[in-house]
Amino acid sequence: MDGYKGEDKEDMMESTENTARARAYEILAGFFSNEPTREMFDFLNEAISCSIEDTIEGIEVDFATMFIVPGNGLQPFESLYNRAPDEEPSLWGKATKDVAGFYRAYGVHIDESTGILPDHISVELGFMGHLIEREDNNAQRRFLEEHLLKWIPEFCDRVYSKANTDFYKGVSKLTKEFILSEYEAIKGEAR
Amino acid sequence: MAKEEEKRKIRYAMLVDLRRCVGCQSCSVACKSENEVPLSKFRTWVKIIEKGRYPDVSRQFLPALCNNCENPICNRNCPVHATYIRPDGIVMVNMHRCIGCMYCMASCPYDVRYVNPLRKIVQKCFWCAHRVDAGLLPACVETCLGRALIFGDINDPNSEISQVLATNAVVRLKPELGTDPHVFYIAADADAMDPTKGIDIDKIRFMEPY
Amino acid sequence: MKITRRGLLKIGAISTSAITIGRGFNLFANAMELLPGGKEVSRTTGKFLKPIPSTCLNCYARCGNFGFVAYGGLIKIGPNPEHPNSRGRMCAKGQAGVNLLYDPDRVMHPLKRVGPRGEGKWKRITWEEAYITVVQKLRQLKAAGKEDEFVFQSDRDITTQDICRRFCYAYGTPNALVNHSPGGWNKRIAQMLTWGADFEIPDVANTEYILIFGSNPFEAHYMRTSFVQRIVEARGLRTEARLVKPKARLIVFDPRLTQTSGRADEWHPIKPGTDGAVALAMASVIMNEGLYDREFIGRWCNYPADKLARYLKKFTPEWAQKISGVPASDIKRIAKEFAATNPATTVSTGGVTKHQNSVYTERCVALLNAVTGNVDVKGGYCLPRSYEFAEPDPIPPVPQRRSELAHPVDFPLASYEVPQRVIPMIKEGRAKVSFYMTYQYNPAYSHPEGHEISRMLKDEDLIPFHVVIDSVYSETAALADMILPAATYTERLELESPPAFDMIPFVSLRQPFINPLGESVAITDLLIELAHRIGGGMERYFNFDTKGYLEHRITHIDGLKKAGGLSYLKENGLWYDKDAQPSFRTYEKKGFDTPSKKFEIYSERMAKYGFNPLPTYEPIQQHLTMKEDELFLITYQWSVHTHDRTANCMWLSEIVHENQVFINAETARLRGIEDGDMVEVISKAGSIKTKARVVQGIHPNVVAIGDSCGHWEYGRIAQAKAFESDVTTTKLLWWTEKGVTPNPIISIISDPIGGGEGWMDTKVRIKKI
Ligand code: SF4
Ligand code: SF4
Ligand code: SF4
Repeated sequence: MDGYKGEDKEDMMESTENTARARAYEILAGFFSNEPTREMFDFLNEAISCSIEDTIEGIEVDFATMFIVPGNGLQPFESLYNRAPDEEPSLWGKATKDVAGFYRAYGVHIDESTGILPDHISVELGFMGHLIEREDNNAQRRFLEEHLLKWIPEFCDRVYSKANTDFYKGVSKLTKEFILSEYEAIKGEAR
Repeated sequence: MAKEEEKRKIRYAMLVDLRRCVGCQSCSVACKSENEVPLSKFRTWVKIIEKGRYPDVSRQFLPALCNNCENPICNRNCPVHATYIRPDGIVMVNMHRCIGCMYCMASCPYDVRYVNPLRKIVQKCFWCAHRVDAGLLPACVETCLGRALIFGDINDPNSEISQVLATNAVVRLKPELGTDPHVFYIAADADAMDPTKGIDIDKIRFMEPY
Repeated sequence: MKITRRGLLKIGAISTSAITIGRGFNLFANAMELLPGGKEVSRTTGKFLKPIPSTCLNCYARCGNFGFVAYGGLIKIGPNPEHPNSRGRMCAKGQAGVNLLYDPDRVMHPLKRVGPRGEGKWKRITWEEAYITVVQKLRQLKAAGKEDEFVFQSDRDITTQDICRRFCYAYGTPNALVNHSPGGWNKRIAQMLTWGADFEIPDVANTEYILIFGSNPFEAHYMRTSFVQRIVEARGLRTEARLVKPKARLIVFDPRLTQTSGRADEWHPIKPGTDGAVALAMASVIMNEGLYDREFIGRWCNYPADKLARYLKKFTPEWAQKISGVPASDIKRIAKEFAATNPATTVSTGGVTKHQNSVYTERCVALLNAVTGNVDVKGGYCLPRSYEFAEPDPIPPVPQRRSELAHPVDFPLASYEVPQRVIPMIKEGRAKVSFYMTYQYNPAYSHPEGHEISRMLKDEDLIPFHVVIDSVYSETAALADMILPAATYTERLELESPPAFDMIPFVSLRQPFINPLGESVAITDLLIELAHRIGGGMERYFNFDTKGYLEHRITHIDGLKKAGGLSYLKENGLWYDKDAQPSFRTYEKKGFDTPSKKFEIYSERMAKYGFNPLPTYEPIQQHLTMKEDELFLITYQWSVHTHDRTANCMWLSEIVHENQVFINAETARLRGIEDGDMVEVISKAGSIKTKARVVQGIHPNVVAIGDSCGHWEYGRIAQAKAFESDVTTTKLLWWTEKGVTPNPIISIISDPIGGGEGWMDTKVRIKKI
């Protein structure tokens, strides 16, 4: 990633920091879009030595049980949580349309052939990464306020309480904390 | 002549021909789909009752919706004037003005208004004004399986509704209250219009329509 | 696992994106542009939305619809006014198709079971892995010469049954159990035996007398929306060339007061399963009083009128009264009216076809139309008119191996499988199954003795490998080894040609409103892909993609080809020959599609297998041993539901989510039951508990339970489970009752001729609890 634009050091520092943040969102997005690959698993265990106690199999089952198999109530779509007050539980709800509008306003839209809905947690997190890459602080702040903060902390709490693996307990806790801390950091920043 | 045509005021009305209704609830669901009516609320609902004693029993239907009265009571007590009447007779609620005080609900004698459960504003059937403005029929009328619902301008003598009105006896709900309701019924059953009579088959009712 | 924000940023700084998003999606693409106008306007902007013409499939009527799409989402499904059958109307189910598409509890990714079957532990797998597993198993079976141990079942599959069958045959298994039949299995067989068509299309729009046996078209019918609007029309004021035609009379025989019988001119509460006796007695009156159509019987039936009259003599109205409870005087009067009114037609569906004596009964009803000369005349009892679709060459040969499942020996005349017996037959060891694949098929819930079926589906020795292809996590999917996510009907490309009510056949297209959600795949695409992967010669029968396949299927329809073929259909949704005029008495050209080319009052084929070759009434065995306190249990379909596939539509489940047992007020009083009391309904097979609904409109010896509720899987909406969220304080599914299904207390009993289930032949006792 060539995030280096400015001449002076400050700028460069900030860019590196931003790249790391953008990447962090992508990692979180990855945690919710897929079960960890063996590669990722080893990476987390070894490079970061975060000593995951679960087996890959256990994590996969946990992932499917929570996010994929119907009926557990943890489908990771914003419109199921951040509902307009009068809205019925449905995919492609108001929040989905909103979030899609947000993407559109920033010139991106979801590749429809993936079949993924725009308000899937990993798409939203990925989009946040995109906004960071564009260095658009206002948009980041708005997106956090209007979308991520509206549901992800709550969603993460639910995941935390339902997860059978340490891994997803960790992921959910991390995601929540990360987002809240991001907001703290952004809120203070000048526009 | 042409000028007069232009000046003629449009007055929309709904006619429910109960000889043709099959009680299929397509209208109720079409409305939900069109207007994003929240679960637990209906803007139009077909009451289905069973009447009589075995074996002389029958079923009677009564689609109930806002009468878009000529002389409504609902708008009189609204402290913020959220309810207003369009020139074509459709009674509207301005959702940006509505403060959810429910005075209108209390005054409407037909009980067709509801509070949106969490947005806390009052909503009701407005004959799909957005569709009508675009030249389309209300969603319920469009889809009605029996073509029991007829919608149109009663000031236009050539409209279907005017012609059917001219050749059939119609009743309205509680006309004695002076609201001048504009939903007309052909062959409505007296028991179906009376909440105390008959066995309600689709028991879930969200509103007592009268 | 412990990572902190710092740690995360650290990984972010050092990792490469290959690691971060494993087998991720290509998330973003370029911006899209605005859409052109059409026939639905946005409520907020007043702009028109783009309509996509398509075909509904929330039931088999296959009405014309439009999907309105904005920014990649389906906003609404509305009716298509150009459709010759549905003419711009759509029932509640059709409207609620949006719910089906956006059911939050859809299956959107391939899943593989981990842990014991039915425990509910799954792992997401890739399509690649799914295909590899399936292909490997099928190849192994093929290598071992056991192709017939692969069984594919889908008894709801009217649209894609051809390609499913093609797949099975190309693979080499005769076990393509995909023959959905509109109107029910028994009806189909009876009709085939009698006049060579699957079912009839009563031309109710033009008729003057509608005689209904056990059918409730106002609420449920295989051509529902198109059918009911025409009945209503015939019942209203009709003028034709300045003549004011009288309103069509509507006479209904039904044990239950329904929307139809409740609005009819006459409702005759009849004892269930005895419609045949009434119809026979009517035929007897017509024949013996000389009211019959000499010409039609003489020229087009295979049994002489005088002989028929003699045969029918013993079936007197008095005899029928004793059996059915319908007064002889009414039978006589209606028979005479029916014969005297021209044209007239009968309508018979569930109440006739869901008994053990259905084939006989259906033939008696059909007989009424023949003796009065109403067969295939304007306003009468018409042959279905639709286009057959061609199969592209090469066509796979039907595998020679005999299949007990596809053609059970004990049902020699049931020309196709007996669906509710398939799993029990496997259990009985009459067929060995190594690989069971089902598509949109939910026997664990929707079949009689569903709980037994569940047990059998759980048995890994019986069914070693079970792949479910579906868009919902059904009761059956929960017991599978692998679930493959299927596209719903709003996301598929398919051709339809439902029987035309205007008697001019037409072709309509179903096309996707949006891309399939998640990783869902349309069944046609799935089968084509599978065929190519299995290979071994099979792929040459699938030398096309879905579009190519559909193009092939309509090449023989010249008019459509000239109009532009598939692209015309994509643009317009449907095609028919604009110059064609409806024609009647089509049998005059080539005769009926029966061995004798006639309307077979006498069926040689039935005689051959020891069944009564003439229309007759056969009492239902259970009825003969009724005890004092026993009642007949009948099932029915609610106006807003299908039998088993709409419970996850919230707008529908909101209206009907509970099924109480309907009971006559007098019967209830004798048992001390009051409206709303909890009662137990007990049959030989088991018992269920539900609330009593005390009404006047039901035969005193009958109780009725609807058959659409009581799911124990199928997502949260079907189960009335709340959706929790902190953002909103309500649970937003306001109802908490999910109802019960009567299926567990209904035994598997089949009509020996048609093989269809005797759904309404259960005796029950009912008591307050
Ligand atoms: S029916 Fe009630 S809400 Fe509708 S206009 Fe009349 S008074 Fe107002
Ligand atoms: S759609 Fe028409 S026929 Fe159906 S219930 Fe409504 S008014 Fe009656
Ligand atoms: S009858 Fe209703 S559900 Fe069936 S195809 Fe027509 S609109 Fe769809």
